[in-house]
Amino acid sequence: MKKEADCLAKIDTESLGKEVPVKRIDSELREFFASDTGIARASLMNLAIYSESVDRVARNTELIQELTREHACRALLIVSQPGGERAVHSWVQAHCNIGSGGEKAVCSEQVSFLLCGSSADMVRNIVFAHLDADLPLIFWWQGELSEVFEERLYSRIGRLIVDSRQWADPAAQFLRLSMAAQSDGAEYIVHDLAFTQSNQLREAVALCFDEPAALGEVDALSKAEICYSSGHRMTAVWLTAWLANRLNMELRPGQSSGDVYTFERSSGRNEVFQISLEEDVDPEATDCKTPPIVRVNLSAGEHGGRFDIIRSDDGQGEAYWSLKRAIPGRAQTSDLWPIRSFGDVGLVGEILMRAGRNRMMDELLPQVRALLTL
Amino acid sequence: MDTNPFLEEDLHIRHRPESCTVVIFGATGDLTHRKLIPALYNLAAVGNLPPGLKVIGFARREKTDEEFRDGLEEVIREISPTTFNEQLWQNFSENVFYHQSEFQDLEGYEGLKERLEEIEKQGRGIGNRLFYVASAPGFFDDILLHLHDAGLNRPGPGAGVDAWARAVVEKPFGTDLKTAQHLNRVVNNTFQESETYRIDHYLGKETAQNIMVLRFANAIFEPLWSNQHIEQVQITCAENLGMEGGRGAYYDTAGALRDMVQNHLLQLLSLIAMEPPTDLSADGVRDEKVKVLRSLRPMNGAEEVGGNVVRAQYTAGVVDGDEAVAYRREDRVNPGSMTESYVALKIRIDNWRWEGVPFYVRMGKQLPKKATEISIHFKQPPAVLFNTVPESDSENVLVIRIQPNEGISLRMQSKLPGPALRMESVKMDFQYATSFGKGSPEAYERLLLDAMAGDATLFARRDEVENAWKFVDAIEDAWHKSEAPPKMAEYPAGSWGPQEADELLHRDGHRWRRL
Repeated sequence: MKKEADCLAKIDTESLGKEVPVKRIDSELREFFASDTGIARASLMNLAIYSESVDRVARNTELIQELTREHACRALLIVSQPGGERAVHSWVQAHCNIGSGGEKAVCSEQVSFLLCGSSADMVRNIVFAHLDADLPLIFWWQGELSEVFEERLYSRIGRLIVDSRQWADPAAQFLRLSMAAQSDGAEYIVHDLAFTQSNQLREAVALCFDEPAALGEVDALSKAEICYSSGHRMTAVWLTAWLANRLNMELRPGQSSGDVYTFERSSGRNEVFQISLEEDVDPEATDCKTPPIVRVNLSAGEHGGRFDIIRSDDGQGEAYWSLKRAIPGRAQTSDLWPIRSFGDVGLVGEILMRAGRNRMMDELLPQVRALLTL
Repeated sequence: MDTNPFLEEDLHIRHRPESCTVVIFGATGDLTHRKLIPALYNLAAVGNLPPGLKVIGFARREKTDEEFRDGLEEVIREISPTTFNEQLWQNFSENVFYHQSEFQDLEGYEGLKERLEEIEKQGRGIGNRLFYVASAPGFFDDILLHLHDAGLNRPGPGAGVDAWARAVVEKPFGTDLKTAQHLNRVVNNTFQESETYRIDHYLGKETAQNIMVLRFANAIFEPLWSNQHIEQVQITCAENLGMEGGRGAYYDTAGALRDMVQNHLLQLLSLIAMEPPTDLSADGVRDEKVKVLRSLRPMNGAEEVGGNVVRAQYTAGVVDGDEAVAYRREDRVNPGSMTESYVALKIRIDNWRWEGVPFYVRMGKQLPKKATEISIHFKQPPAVLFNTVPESDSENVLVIRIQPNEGISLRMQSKLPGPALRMESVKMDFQYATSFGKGSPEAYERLLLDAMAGDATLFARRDEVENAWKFVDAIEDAWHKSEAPPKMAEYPAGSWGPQEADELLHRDGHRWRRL
């Protein structure tokens, strides 16, 4: 009993709304929506956030509140404490926003669970019993994949979101994900926020080569430099794997080290292609303002073209990719490319908005694992 | 290397068009300031515009590039105060230019050609050109002919083999079949049909695009989508405005039938009634739409028109609590006008699927509220089981709301709680805004991108336009050329239309859906 009380005492329950017994969750929600005719319930999916960190409760509720502004859902916040005596606590609340029609407030409900002594069974039997039927389940796993991540749990998931930036040993975690993906019950689509974070940058790189003159330089490219912010190395690694994939290159492990990778091109004028990663340390950077990737430079040797994609600010809080193309014999051209939010809400929102199979990440995963083992 | 290896199909939500120069004729007009430039700017703001895109405004008024940009900035600041961004505008407007010329002056087009080549040379030299004809309709011929004569109907010099020159033509596309055919000849003498984009902004609306998805991506609707199960279809476009802002001058020459039914509402009808296309290519979809237009039962003579069409004008009344004058007393409207501000039609489609199903279409000005929607009324189930005669308004109705409050609802019968078996209508409602948490994008954004990308699916093809005019012309002829034309009915401003329109449906045992 004391252990259970300890488990509850660890978390800040203030942000979680009204505490209700698990068996009263549905009736509490029904009463809430019946009590006010000025509100409408909306839900397109189940969005579960799973965390074993007791410190993230308030922040996760904020994330849910922000996400539900654009993505109506039933949100399930799961605070899991593996080990110890088993007990469950639950809370309900709703996040309401005035709809674009301005008539009714549109509400998404949040059901929060504290699972003491948690296991995959508890998640499946207690939490999943409160899913909105027939709607897809998007499961955002925060932190390291623990023992709870097993077949009984992931066989119910439609889309799994992980964040390799938070992992101490990404190689081991990706191995675990790959093994899980091969098991019978796994039909989910995986998203890594570190990869999603590269979406816009990959678009920007593609834009650099959209015009015929720039396209002519692709075969001559021989070098790339990726400068990333502290804490975002995994995004730089994903980008490295992507460049290798797009240019059809093979890694030369013997000539690569942790920060400089050498690839062999099977086509193109330059057989060897080098990608170097560099960490940019900005002492004033904060999590939400730090750009994950500060710049990417692609070049075709001393006398060839050079393509720079550099993050810039307008001083009014808006950030852009500045794309510069210097091609021998032609005037330099440049473009601005607006940067969408790169906070967690923006990234998860991007995943929800795009949906799809996320095939590119699947394709790159073996290369990423190879890069991580160097 | 022929293709960009960095492009990923999955990454792009839609195909990104190649860079081009957009030339807008009628650049000082309202459409350019309030719709076209804001749409281009919004696309730039979310990173959906191709890099290096240039815009040249072509109009008669004397202006410098700077004055043109300042005028556009003023409007964009006014209509998008929260999303306006200085740096982005700066970056966007640097690529916006102004070219002054009369529309009838060939020299002006030769000057435009030089300017275009100069701008293309400074820029990326791709040479793709999109000519957007947004001027007053009276100048469409001149603009298209002079584009041809100045050699502007092809890509810029030195452009690659895949480069293109396209024309987007705004409505009205003609005023009858004859003028539409003439305009089509002029357009197709200048641009190939595949490079001609006749814009109908209704087709750019999210809900209009959703009609095909609703019908063909859901297994439950298509088996019911025929005369076997559908009793009637209603398409309503209601406006709560009159002739504000000097609009009477144009409207009085057009009327509800030409202004809205010939284009927007017949397009919606085609989407509802078409057969499943073999593929989603532009011609695959348009082939099926045009078959519907060809199957519309023609109305021959005043008597037939009188029996199937009601035309009316509003008299003085109250709309949204404000006094409204009669149509004939509106600014710039002929006091003896015989132009309809309201029209209701009973349309028959002579094909296997729709034999016997009436399509009721109505459009009116100064109605109680603004709403465009399509309602599909299903047949009543047999009454034997519940031993009751079905009440009116108890049939299943599927409603597709085009605007505002975009969404879809389905009305069905449910048992009222209690010991007795009593039934009541209930509604399942899906709203874009509440389900997806955001409003639908502006139709012009989608359509401009489609035109740049060469996707003509949401644009009207020549035969669609001509078949729609053919159908409408027979009605116009009965109204304006017959010896005993059907009468012009009246309705008070702020009401749901004339009594005669209600009777049109009552004769078939139906009534207009209450909006």
